[in-house]
Amino acid sequence: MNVSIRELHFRYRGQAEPVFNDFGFAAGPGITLLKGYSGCGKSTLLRLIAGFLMPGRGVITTSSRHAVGTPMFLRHEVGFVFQQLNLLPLASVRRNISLAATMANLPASAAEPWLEILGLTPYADIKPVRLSGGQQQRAAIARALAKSPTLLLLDEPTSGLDDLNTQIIAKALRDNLPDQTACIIATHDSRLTSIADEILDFNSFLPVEKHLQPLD
Amino acid sequence: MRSWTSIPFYLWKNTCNRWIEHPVSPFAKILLPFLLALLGLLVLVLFSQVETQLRDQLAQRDLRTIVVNEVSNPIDAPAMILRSLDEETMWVNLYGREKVTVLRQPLVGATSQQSLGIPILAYSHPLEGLPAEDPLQPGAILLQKNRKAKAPELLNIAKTHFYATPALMPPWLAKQANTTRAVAMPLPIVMPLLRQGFISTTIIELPEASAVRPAEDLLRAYFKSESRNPRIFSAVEILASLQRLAATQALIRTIIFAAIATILALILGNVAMLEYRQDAYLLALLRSFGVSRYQLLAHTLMENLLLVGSGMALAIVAWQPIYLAGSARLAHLGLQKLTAPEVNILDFQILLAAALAGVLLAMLPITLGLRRPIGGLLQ
Repeated sequence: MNVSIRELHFRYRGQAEPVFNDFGFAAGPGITLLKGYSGCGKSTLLRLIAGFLMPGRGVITTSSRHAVGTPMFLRHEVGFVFQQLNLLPLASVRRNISLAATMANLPASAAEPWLEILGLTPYADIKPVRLSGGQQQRAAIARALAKSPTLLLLDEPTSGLDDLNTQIIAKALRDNLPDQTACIIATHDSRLTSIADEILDFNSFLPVEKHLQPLD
Repeated sequence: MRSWTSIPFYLWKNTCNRWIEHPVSPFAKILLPFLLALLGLLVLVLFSQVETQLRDQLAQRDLRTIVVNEVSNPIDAPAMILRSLDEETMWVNLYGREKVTVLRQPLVGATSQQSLGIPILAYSHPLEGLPAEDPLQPGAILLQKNRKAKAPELLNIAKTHFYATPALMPPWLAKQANTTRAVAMPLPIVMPLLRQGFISTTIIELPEASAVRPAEDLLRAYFKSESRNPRIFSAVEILASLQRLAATQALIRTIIFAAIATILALILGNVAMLEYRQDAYLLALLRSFGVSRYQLLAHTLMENLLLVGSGMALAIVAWQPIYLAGSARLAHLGLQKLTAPEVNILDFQILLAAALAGVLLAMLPITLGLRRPIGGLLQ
């Protein structure tokens, strides 16, 4: 999957300052790390790429045959891991993962290997509320990967996690990411640098005063 | 489990969980339409009953017939007999002998061994459907709606005994009479009784229904000029009443429809908005998987239709027992007991349509809520 962004302009409603103004970006298969200070717009960029936010101006294109943000695009192409833990509370870990797989027209059994890879097999049949933060984050990543997405977007996937959990996640991404999948990770966690094919440092092209303003 | 079953399954699980956590919400969604529908049905049933009564009256009457009823008290009776005979001649000249029937009923009735107060009908010329009478020996005929007795029956009329020959009441008279038995007697025999007060009934049959209104106007004008106020009945009046009733009924149905739809829309809309706020995060999460807004809207619609539909169905099933129980209670208090009512199928359809409209209107806030970008909700 290739992602291309041109002349992107975006600002949140009620805020005078735009987050992006004539911003350009491109990513291809492999792992791209978006680094930068908190509030510099990394998460916003991921949401724009997925189509969860609509840009004011500019073009976001992908190599998918589905338009960005449409249900078909989200079903078949995108795996998204949010910064906050967004597991379905009433479904077990296994159901959380298999539900996402069935949405992508994959069998429910597609969940099983990811439970194994991310070390969740012992917790497969319990509700997310009984998992630790690290286990929940791993479940969220398993859910995103079980869809076999061509575009995997992860927002601070290891934020607040210990080294062990971070290692499990990093290994899962490095070893199991399909060749054609573009994985974009928004993070300021330097422990993930080792798995990146490309690193985009927002700090290098955004003015310093921008870093001091909370943007999202 | 495929996506088209797994997502609805999860949504229903979430809904049931919400119902268990906040049972007031589904209870309100059932109770509100139940009470509204019950209220609507009780109002509509009153109209239905009036309509039934009018239609019954209409069925008893010929569309071409006018009936004039007038009571003469004992003081006025001697003069009124003569006036009544003159008027009979006048109506006969105007409409024809065979089209005018005048019956005069004394205020006193006949008694027999079986019954008291049998109405006496005095006729001034041979009545259609009655057996021919021996002009030399005129007598009484006991008219019965269902002929049971075949032998002549001894009647006591003002201390005078008569043998009355039983006969079947002719259909035209059975329609007008409120009694199952009556004694028909020639006018000269009954004349002394009529002088003590009588009720005169004039039945005029017109050639066609369109002639009824002018004839009725003429009769009213005549009696007004005579400073008398007899009761004049015709199907025209009933038809006019039915038309007025239908217009009022249509208005009431519209008001009930609008009221139910508006109340349901406002209250369900508010409840649904609160529930949407509670579920907004989950719905946004499902949308991030690629669940379409329409699927989520369809689920909310189904949920509301299920609850509101249950309330309406409950009202449709329960209203008649509630109505009859209330009616029995009124009878117990000495008020008139109402008969088992019937509701027009259209009224049920109106209530269901109002509920559907209310539910659809209540979807508006959620529809707008689901248009918000997912990125604004999920962090």
